[in-house]
Amino acid sequence: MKNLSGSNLEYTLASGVFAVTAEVGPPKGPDAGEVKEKAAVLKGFADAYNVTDNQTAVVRMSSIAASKILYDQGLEPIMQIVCRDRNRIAIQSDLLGAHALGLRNVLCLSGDHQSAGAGGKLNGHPGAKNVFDIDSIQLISIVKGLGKGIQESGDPISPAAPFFIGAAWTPFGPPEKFRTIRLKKKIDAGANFIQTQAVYDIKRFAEAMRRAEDMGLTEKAAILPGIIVPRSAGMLNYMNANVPGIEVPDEMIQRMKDAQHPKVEGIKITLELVDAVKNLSGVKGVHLQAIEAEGLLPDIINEAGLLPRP
Amino acid sequence: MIFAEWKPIDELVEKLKAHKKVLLVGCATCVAECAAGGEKEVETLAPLLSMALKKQGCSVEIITATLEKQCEFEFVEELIEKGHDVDAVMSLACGIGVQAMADLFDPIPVYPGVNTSALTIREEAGLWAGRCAACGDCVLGETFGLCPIARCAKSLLNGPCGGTRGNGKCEVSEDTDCIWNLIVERGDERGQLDSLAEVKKSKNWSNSRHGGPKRVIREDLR
Amino acid sequence: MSNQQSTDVTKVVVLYCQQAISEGAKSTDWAQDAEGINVQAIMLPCSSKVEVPYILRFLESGADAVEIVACPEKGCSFLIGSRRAEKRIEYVRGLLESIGDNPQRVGISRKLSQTPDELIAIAKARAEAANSN
Ligand code: SF4
Ligand code: SF4
Repeated sequence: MKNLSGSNLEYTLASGVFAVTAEVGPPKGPDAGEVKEKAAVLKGFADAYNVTDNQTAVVRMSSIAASKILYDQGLEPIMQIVCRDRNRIAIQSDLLGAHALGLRNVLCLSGDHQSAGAGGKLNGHPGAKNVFDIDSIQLISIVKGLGKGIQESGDPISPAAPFFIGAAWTPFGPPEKFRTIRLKKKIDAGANFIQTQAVYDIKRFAEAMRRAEDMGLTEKAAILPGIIVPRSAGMLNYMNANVPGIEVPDEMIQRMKDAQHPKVEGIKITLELVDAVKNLSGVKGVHLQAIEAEGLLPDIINEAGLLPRP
Repeated sequence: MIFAEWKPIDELVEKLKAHKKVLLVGCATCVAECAAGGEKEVETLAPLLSMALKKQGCSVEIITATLEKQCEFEFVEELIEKGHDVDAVMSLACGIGVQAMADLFDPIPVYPGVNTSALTIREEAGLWAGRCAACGDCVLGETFGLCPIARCAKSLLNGPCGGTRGNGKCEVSEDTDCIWNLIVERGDERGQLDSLAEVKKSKNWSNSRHGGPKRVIREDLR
Repeated sequence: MSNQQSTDVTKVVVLYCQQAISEGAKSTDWAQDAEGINVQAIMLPCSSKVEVPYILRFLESGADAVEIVACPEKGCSFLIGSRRAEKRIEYVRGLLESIGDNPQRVGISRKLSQTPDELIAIAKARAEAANSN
């Protein structure tokens, strides 16, 4: 892998270091201080930080603005872009703006449907008109094109705007036999790194990785399995039942149920998962999340032996 | 067929309150098939509106008619005489029919009595489901006859999003199939999954509403 | 309901399936014997013939209540006729609710061989339900 974009994540991966990414969700209000606080907690513990784009269709500070705030704090952002809210004109315009601001990583996603509204916990905007002018794979092609100095239309730009391009992979979502093909499409379109839906079932994930490897995909893109720190048996149960593409083995749920201190057990499980995916061929890093508990991550990353970051 | 459903009665009553004599018009085509604006629905809505208006102290005479087709001027013209003394029209046809009426009855107000919302098929008695969104660039030939534009909540062209539920339903509704799950299944059954492996380029939407109002001229038919 | 002319006698239309009644109710004369309410009796070959607009027209043109007397599901000689009538009543109730009216203005009873007395009792019960609430 050549470092074309100037992304630090790209450099880390190219140099063969096991990468760590984490997530910083922008606030629902306009306070830059909130972003800075989260940044202060996580600074130095990951190579790059995903900044979500109106996740679950809830209006939040724009991913481009929050990314810039992180950048100014010395953290490298991965700006997420969903296809729900902007057409190819707006997205390309934002990409050029992001590049001008120094942002170099983008993660291309379809985006939750606007009916999601934080799973019913907030009003959200179910009456919104969605865009979906392009899909996530077409978005990858477009980002790739800007890197070569060509807009989607074919019009040239100068200079080019190279990005380090990310995409998502849900290996266990139905139709399962298509999920590796879809991963290949993303990589064919230009994805350089892949963050997966949260993995708990190592055996099944290992099989999925083998399929990806057999198709030569692990050589073309860096795969970073997602791991969400489990906090309780209830949370695992909920994700297992309700979050598409997340599968939690029964033993793990039982283990959390039996644990005297579920939170401690959750951290132990996380460390075991990190260890397990580290040993899988083709895995180039991890994407760690601790929902509403980012403060846990520094210790976990430390204990996993992933410090110091390059 | 074009699918429509009644607007909330309150909204209709609000529109008709100030009028004296109203022509309520149905259409015997699509809206009859989806049981929103055929003769039966016209004859149901007329007494219901009368009762609702009476409750609000309004005396509005409602006369009714159902045209064979409200989306063609020749048929709509038949109504001009019947409606010569009305001060409002309410149409239960799709948006096309409503506008045909509005053109011919101008300046008399023509109100829509239904919301036109989709192009559907009747899957079984009392169950309609969307099939087409008139995107102007049909891809059914590449998706084994299943439309990813109208039937995928995100109009995806390159396969399923990460939201497909474990049971193959779409993330937006427990009752709706993830169409990409079905497209892949059908492709797999035909041994043609490979054809879905190629990256589909961004779509050209300009032959649909996105390209501006549709206007087509066929010289051979003029 | 208050907006029906409460001073007048309650008017009930009874639409009855000829299969659902006893010999004694084969003519519509029994309707005259109903005391305290005004019954309009209409005999039908089958309750499945009762369409929604037909029911609503009665309500609109002055009836306080409409009752369908149908055969029980198993006794229906057209098999699904009485079930259909029931669904229509449910639908009309929804419509009445949508305009803020009393859904109990319409109803359906299903039993074989109803006598004139039973029919009158049914009509009275419907009148009461229509006037309450
Ligand atoms: S691809 Fe377009 S034209 Fe074809 S069925 Fe779907 S919406 Fe209609
Ligand atoms: S779950 Fe399937 S149908 Fe629903 S939005 Fe995703 S791909 Fe489209």
